[in-house]
Amino acid sequence: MLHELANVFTGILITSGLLAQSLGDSDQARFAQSICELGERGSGLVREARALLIGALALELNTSGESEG
Amino acid sequence: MSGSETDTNRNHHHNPLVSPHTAQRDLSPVGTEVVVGKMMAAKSMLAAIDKAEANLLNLLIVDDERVIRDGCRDVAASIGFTTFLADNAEHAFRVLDAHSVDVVLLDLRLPGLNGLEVLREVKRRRPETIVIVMTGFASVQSAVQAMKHGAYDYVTKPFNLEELRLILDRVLGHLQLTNENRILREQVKSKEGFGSIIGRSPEMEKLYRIISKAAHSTHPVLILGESGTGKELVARSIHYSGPFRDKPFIAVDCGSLVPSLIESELFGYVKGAFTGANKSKDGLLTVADGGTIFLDEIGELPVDLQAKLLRALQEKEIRPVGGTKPVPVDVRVLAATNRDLETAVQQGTFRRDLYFRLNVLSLRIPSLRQRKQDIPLLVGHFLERLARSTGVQRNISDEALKLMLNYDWPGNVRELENCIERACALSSGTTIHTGDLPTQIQNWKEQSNPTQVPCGARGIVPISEIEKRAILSAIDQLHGDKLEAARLLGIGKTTLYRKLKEYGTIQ
Repeated sequence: MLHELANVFTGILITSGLLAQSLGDSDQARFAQSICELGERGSGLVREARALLIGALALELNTSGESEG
Repeated sequence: MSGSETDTNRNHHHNPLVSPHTAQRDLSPVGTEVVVGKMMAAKSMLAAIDKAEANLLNLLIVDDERVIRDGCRDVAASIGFTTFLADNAEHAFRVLDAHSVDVVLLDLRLPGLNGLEVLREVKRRRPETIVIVMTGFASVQSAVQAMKHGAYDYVTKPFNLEELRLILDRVLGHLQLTNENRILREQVKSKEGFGSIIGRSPEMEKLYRIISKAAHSTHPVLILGESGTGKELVARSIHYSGPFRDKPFIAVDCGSLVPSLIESELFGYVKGAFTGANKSKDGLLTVADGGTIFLDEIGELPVDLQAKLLRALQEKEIRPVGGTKPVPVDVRVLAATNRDLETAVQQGTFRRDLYFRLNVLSLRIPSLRQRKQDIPLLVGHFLERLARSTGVQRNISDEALKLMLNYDWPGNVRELENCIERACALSSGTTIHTGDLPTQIQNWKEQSNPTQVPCGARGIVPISEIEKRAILSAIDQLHGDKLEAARLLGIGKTTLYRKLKEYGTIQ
């Protein structure tokens, strides 16, 4: 799921970035810029979730290793 | 999974290698653009040369997400890359086989083949290709694994426009540096030319650029040029300047082998295949496995063997004479001819499909009369070489050199080499004088009438040669004004340009 989310946010970040660029200084560019910012926030959440997941997995592995030992 | 024709169509906008009006395209529902069909060879030949001239870099984007492919394509195109798109491994390999790809932007998670396996295969097929992996896992392990398998760098998803730009800019800088290093190395290797090829004329400089590009591609190359221009030397330069220089280079002169022997020489034979075949023998295609086979005088190859060679190139396997099991071969083919293969195709003596297969990239070596300014350099080189073997350092008088510069050299560099060797043998002192030169050079009068050019057997000049001389001479007299030349010659400008393309004087 996180991989899919990472793909979704990559698409959002790149296309909104390109859109913002093509709109230049127009009013619409602000909207595109907002999408970029939201994309960055979403991407941050994906990274956080991934770090949590990796941490949890490592913990689980350690715990199961200890119980086996 | 969203590969579609949209990718293909959009990609055309950025991709000068394919003309949507002339080349057949694979429009299967994938995000890949692959040029196929008979038009491919001729088109990509011109495109490859254009590309070499323009110094464009090719980037292949492999990702199953259409939005990411499109976005990356737009960013890469704005930096200066020519882009190709693929949505899975299989299609990525097809692009790699059909085009000279410099950089691959590869998603590590693809449908079907695992991204690391794709990375390994890309590096196996194209060791010099730079691969940047896109990973969604962000684990140190997957990145380390990718780097271990030869990835240049990695980028973690999600990434934004600036991160992508930064990494592509870095690759661009790296490639430019690599290219400059390569050119410098080649210049250091020989101040007189490129590798063993001698010449500093603009025609030769152009040839070196194409050789350099061809060396770093794996496609077949058709080397055209008159007899004695050094086609094998060019083939060797392509092989020894490329990434497979440590693999074998096998030269075969198809013109000097008895037709009945060519088959067993090229494809090998099994024990008992014919009388005298007491043991199996590998063919030269097998001997050259992993490297290059140079087929000189390819136009002399019998038609039935042309079919067999074509099969070997397409299927990457051969069947030895008398054998039943196919033997896999992975060999790059360089072919050369001084014959007009297009005419041979029209006459049915050369297979059209093989011609297109071999003519993916084509280069024409200029004749010596087209680069007379290289004559002093060549004379110096041959004198130097003879001095090393004989211990006698000779030079040439201004008058003798002047005669040599006036002469037309129908036998090209080979004739010049023979001329110098002969003159050195005859010369009593350390200076070569006009009297030491062959009589045809001493008595040479510059030709103004093209029909007087002594070429062909028994002095008979082929009409095509007279035509060529008439066209080139007209353009020369008119200081390059091709339209006026066409008008005065009484031919259409399209015909003139087609002829010039045939002669290799324009691309």
